[in-house]
This record gives sequence, structure tokens and C-alpha cells, in this order.
Amino acid sequence: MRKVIVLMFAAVAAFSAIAASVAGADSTRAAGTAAPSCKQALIALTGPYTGPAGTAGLDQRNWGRIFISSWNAGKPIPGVPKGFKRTKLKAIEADTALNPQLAATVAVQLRSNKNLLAVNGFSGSQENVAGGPILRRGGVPFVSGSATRASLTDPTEPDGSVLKSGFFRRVVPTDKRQGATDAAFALNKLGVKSGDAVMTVDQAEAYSVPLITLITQLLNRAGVNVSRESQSAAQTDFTSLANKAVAQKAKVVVLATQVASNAQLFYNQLKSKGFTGAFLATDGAFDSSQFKVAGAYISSFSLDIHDVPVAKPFVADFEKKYGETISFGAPSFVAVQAIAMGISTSCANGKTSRAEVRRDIGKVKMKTSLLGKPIAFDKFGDVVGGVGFTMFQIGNDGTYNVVQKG
Amino acid sequence: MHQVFQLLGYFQDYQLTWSFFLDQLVAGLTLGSVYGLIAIGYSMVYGILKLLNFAHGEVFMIGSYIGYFVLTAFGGAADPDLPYALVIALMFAAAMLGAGTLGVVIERFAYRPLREKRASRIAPLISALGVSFCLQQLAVIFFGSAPKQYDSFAIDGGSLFTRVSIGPFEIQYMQIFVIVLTVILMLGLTIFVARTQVGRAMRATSFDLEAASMMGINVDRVIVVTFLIGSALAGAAGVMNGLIFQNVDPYVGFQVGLIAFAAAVIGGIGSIPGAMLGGLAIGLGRALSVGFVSSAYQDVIVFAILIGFLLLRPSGIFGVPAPSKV
Repeated sequence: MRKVIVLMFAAVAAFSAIAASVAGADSTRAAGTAAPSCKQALIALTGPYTGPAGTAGLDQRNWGRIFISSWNAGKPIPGVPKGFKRTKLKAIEADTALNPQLAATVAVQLRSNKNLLAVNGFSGSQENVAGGPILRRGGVPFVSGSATRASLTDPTEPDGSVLKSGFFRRVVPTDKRQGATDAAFALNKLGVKSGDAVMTVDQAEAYSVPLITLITQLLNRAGVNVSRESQSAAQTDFTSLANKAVAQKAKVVVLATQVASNAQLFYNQLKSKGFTGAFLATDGAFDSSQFKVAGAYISSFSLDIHDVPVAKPFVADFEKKYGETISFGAPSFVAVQAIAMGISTSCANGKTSRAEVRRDIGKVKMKTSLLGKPIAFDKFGDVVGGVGFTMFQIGNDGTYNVVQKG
Repeated sequence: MHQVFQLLGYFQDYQLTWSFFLDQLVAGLTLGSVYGLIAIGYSMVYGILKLLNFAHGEVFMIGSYIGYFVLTAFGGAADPDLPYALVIALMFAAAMLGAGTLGVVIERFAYRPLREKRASRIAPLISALGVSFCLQQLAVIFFGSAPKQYDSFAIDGGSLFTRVSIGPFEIQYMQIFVIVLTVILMLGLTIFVARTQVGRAMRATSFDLEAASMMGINVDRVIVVTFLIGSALAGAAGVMNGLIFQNVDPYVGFQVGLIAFAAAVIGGIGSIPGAMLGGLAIGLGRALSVGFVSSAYQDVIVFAILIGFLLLRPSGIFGVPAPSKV
């Protein structure tokens, strides 16, 4: 009996300690006790550096590094006014592997680092859904260069209500825009008409489900017969879906995925089954090293960064250090720039805090950017200006050729 | 019947054609063949050692990588240095040898010491999980996390994925190859277990390890052979998976391994034909669910049916109920 009582007391004590630490980490208190530096401000670069989206994640990380080295060296950067006083940056890097659980773990670690002022990330929408509320409770501002799920910034949606305005921002357009662009492209450019069959496929995660839902709704409204399908990204056999698309005589197959090799496999399997329609993949598949089947279309928030005149010296620097860029990570350069400008503004009086950085990132206005477009944020954290969704078609040599500018 | 389904209004016209049904059937058999070959390894090891070898999925993954590296070493899929049939044969040989050796090494260093120390049954299970995570992470470190593509659609100008009509079936050469090779491997294994001295020793050890040992059977050798064969089959499945589904990445073994484990349980763990049948059941279940019900619910449907089946027959298709000693 004594043992039981001792154990119960121990359990209650442990529970109280955990509860106290969780409460102690919350919101303004954590931010208030932070002691960040304005001499060399600490930020975090996050991304899926390993896992199926590793190529895209490393491209993002490398663009983040290019920004920091250029910024710290005082090089001219598009959108940074001359004479703008820069606070030097130091970055820690964290791999989230496109895994929401890992993103949540990383968020806990970053939040508890009191020197950390802001986070570049998370890359995947599902990672923001899982890790974002944790950063928000620590008062940490975070800016993504790739998360497009529309509800992340919509306060009427569950995602928006837990992330809350002022914490999460992004420099890329939302999937409302991507969905509309893709549906319009199918109808206007790929010749889909009322009564035609189209197959739409999501990968059963937070990024692709709402995007495919929107595309399906828009096509349905145009009188298209849409077969809505869903298959986990971990399952890499699309043969049954390919059979179905061929049997339905689908004119277009739309796949929303974050795993470019899945797009490669699906289109190959479709073609091997005799599919003669068009194949359209969304921005998550934008990776010319993994998805390279000639003829396929792909939508992306990223321009071909090689074609942007102001980006040329940075592309040259990137390719000298890291090899060829797939362009996917270029918006991450701009996301880190927004963080850097926010931190520098907040450091004008020699002191800063997460709350001040959060406020000042919201006020960042770039007249131009690496993407060749102006960047600012609305009150919900969505980008004002910036790029739209560009449509690419894969050429015979595997290169991505612009067929419709965003 | 066709009219009945049409009247029900559920199915689309194309779903009520034989050709669509047969297409889905072939897709299911192909996928199920891969699951089945992996499941055999789980089943063989469990049959002998009563050990759930959770590292088996990673052995499959390594086998798939070996196949990829052999293909790359001989110039890649689009323009191989040797005739492509020979390259494919070498891929299988290297993957089976490499995976088989890996299985033996795992047994020697992760399981046998625990067996010799008479550790509790949970210890090798944890050791198996540890080996699984180690292999996965080592693959990330040495091979990178991005998927490696076999690019098998480029082999011989895509001729392996050309469709050919066999009676009512329209089937790709690659699907024929996978299904036929699976049948050959299954027959070979069945003959080996039934007709050879080592096979008889395996059956005896599976029946009662201690009694077999007392009868003069070198139990350690039998266990090594079991790991060698089971892992070699997983290696073959890895190459098949790469050839037909294109990709290999460090995480592929975990998911496929779990499904194959489920297949082994459905078939009656310890039973070799049961494991194959379990794999085919899951493959067919998935393909038919996608074709006729919903892709979103494919796993829900398949595993709900399998749970229902296990409730009715807990020992699986060919499993024997364990006698309870009183």
C-alpha cells in the first residue's frame, strides 16, 4: 500500500512538473524572457532535407544559406534599400523530413531556444498544421517559402484559428490560386469540355487534399465528369488508378503530390497502359531531377529562377556552391529576407524580442525581390504581390519549359 | 447480372466490362506477388524461431538498392552495356546474394547472441526493430534520402511495358515476368523444403526446435539457411519492386514490410504457401477496391475484411491453432 501511495505522489509530481513547463513555455512569457542578440541574430532554417522531398528541401536550405551569406557580406540584394542597416544573421538548420510529427518535435526544440528570433518554414503545409501552433505558443514568427494550403491563413478555418494571424506568413500564393490556375489550364489549354472525364488524385495529406478538392469543385462546376481519387504517398503503385483512368477515357489526370517521383511513376504507368490524355502535377512535384517524363505539365509558384534578371548573380553564386538549382527553393531566399529585414528593423534601438520581430516582419515591404516581384504581407500573413502559378511542360530532355506565365 | 448492377446505378459502364476487371486482377496479382515474396521471409523465420523479424522490410529495401546499383553500374536502363536480359539477371543474382548475406549477418550478430543467452522473447523483437531503424538510417547516410529511380520504362525502349493479349487478358511483359518469376521461386522453395535434407531439417526444427536439436540436427545451420533463403527472396522482391514500381528510397521497406507482415499473418504465420496467398489477397484486395469501390478507402476495405477474416479464423488461411498445454 505504501508503495502505491509513493508511486501516486511521484506520478502527480511528474505531471505537475510537465504541466508547469508546458504552461511556462506559453506565448508572451516565453517571448518576454528571451534574450536574443542584435549583434548576430539567431534564426532557424527548416525543410525536408531527407525523405522523399529531400531534393526540394535541400534546394530551399541552400537558397536560405545563399541569402544569409549575401546579407552578412553586405552584398546588394533585390528589395533591400541602400543604406538599410543590417543585423547579421546566424542560422541553425533543422530537418523536418516532410513529416508532421518531426516538424512538431523540431518546433518544440526551436521554441525552447531563447536566443532564437524567427523560423524560416515550415516547408510543407502539413508540417505547419502540426508544428505551427507550437511555434505560435512560443511567440516565434515563422515565414514559409512553400506552404500553400489556403486555410493556414484563414482565421475562419481550424488551421487559421490555431496559427492565429501575425505568427505565420508566406511568400508564395495559396492553393486557392493554384487550384483556380490548374482548373482554368485544364479547361482552356488542355481542351477539357463539359461532359469530358477527368481524374483528380490526392495523396491523403494536408497539402493535396484541399487542393484537389478545389480543383474537383471547379471542374465539376464546368460540367466535367470528375473521378476523385486518393492514394497515400507512401503507396507507390498507381497501376489500379492508371487502369481506371484509361477505362474512363480521362482526358486529363491531375495529381497533387509532394513526392515528385510519384508523379514520375504515375505518368509512366498511365502511358504504359495506353493513356493518351494530358497529365498535370501540382507544385509539390516540381523537381526536375525526379519528375522528368516528357509531355507532362506542372504548376509551380516558382518561376524558372534562371530567367529572372535580378537573380542572375545569386543563381551563379548558388550553382558555384551547390550545383544546379531546381528553382523550388528560390522563394525561401525571399522568406529569409523578410525575416532578416524584420529583425533589422526591430533592432534599430539595439534590442529586440520575438514579439518585435513578429510585428516588424509584418511591415516588410520589398519593392522587388529575387523573384522579380514586389513582396509584402496582408494582415492574415498572405503575400501581397509576389508571383502567381506558372505552368510548365516537361521537354524531351527533361527540362521544364514555361507554357503559361504566372 | 450486368443489368442488375446497372440498375443499382452504382457502377459506371466501364466497371462492368471484363477487360477492366481483368486489368485490376493482373494489377493485384503483380502487387501481391511482391508482398507475398516478402511475407515468405517473415513466415519462415517465425516458423523456426517464433521471432517477428521486423528488419525484414529493410532487407527488402537493401535488395532493391543493390538491384539499382547493378543496373547503374552496367550503364543504366536506357543504354545498358550488356543485353538487358543479362543485366536484369545480374540484378536479381546480386540482390538475392546481397540480401541473403545481410539476413545471415543480422541473424548472426543481432539474434543469435540473444538466443544463446536465452533472452526473453521481447528482446529479439526489440533487437529486430533496432536493426530495422539502423539499416534505414544507414541507407539515408550512404544512399541519400531522395528516391533512386530504376527508370525501367526506358529499358529496351519501353518494350517491357508493352501490352500483349493472352486470351481475355491484356497484360504487360513486365507483369508476366513478375508473376511467372514469383511462381518459379515459390515452386523452387516448395521443392527445396519438401525434398531436400536441409528442407526436412527446417520442417523438423519448425515443428520442435529442441527436439530437432536432440535428434542431431544442426539447428544453428538450419536457422542460417532459413535467414539466407527468406532474405534472398526479399532481395528478389526488392528488384521486382524497383523494376515495376520504379523507385527505391530508404523508407520503402518499412511500409511494404508491415503489409507483408500482415500478409504472413493472414496466410497463417509459419506457412509458406499461406504467406504467398496472404500477399496475393492483399494485392488483389487493394486493386479491386480501387477499381470498384474507392481508392480513398482501399486500405480500410482490405484491412477491415482481413480483420473480419482473422476473427473467424485467428490462425490464418493455412495456420494451425496453437495447442494449449495444461
